Amino acid sequence: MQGMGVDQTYYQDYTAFPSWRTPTKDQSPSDYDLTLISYKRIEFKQSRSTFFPLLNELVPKQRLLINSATAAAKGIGEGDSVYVESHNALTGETRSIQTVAQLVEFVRPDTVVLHHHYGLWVHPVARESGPTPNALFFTGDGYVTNTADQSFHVNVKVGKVV
Amino acid sequence: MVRYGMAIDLSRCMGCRACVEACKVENNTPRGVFWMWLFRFEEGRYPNSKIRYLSRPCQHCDNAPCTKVCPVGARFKRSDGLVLTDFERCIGCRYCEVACPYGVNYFNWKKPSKNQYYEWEEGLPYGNPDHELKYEERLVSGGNHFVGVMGKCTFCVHRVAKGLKPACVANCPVNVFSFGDLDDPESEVSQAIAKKEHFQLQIELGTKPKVYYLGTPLDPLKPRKALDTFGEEVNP
Repeated sequence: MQGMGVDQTYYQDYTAFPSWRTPTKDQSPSDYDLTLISYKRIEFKQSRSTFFPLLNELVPKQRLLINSATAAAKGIGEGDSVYVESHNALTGETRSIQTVAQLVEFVRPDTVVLHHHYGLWVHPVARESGPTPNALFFTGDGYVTNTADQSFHVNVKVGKVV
Repeated sequence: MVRYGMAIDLSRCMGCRACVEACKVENNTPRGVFWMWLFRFEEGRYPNSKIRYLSRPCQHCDNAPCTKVCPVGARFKRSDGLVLTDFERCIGCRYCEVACPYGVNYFNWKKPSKNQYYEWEEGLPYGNPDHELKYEERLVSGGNHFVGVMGKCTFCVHRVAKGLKPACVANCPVNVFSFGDLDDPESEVSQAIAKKEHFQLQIELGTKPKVYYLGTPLDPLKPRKALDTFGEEVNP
């Protein structure tokens, strides 16, 4: 990690007793203004059912769920191609995927949601379904650690693909 | 005489679509054909939005408009109230699809072997043998007999004939559905309807549907948005 530019090692994440600090993601620059979460759809079990044709037919594609007010502020419309870029506050590394936006009301304005299940790249039924949100999460100090703290909390920026 | 009907308790439904999949597996319907469909939509604006669900089987109307437009008598209503399609008579004119206000009719566009999720050379490797039987001397059950015929929900006529409940009813994990004789006040479905506030879809058209929805009627003034709206999605 130090080789990647991290000057603070999060020893406090490895204590025997629970501790709390502000999430690492809050140190990301302000243009990474949205929190990414991934969630499980009711049709699927983890990532091992998207290749089942009967279920894949119901929800065939990955999509980014975004609050309609947030989307309007960013100029994103229903069905637009969007990029989602995550930022590692410690190393400055960014990771990016491209998907399609769906405007909803049940997601908080400061949060965006990607379905957990997609991302299989070999199976003929599932490989066209879209990217996995796991490609945007970081492991290592400050993010997912041995104590599973801070897990899957990452700041992202979302924009329309032009 | 029995008069089969269904009650769907919207306050219990969690939108898992087990009914949709149970129907597909039981009736061997082809890809993109949903005799049972579950609409998912959200009402209201953040932060006061609510996701709601609505199952939609065939309404098996007492005054079914689809039977009246069928030029060959393939779509008919049985004495026990089931509205069925005789697949051997159907000529595929799709008039019933136009006449139905609920959108429950699905045309079989492809050969059965070419549209059952994978393409098979000859015949199908699986299928429900009950669909080869005739009920009241007509071929009415099953969703994948011939290309070019119209199919729709049969209330699982092959299961009802055995005294079983339709597949969607039997498979629901949270007992949303009640099925039985509407004319018998002691039946499960009559009791369910009697106990709760209920509504029916588009009764102003005079179709007299036999599917009752338990719960508050949808408020037409609330903003409402479907959650499954993508073009790629096979959505009726």
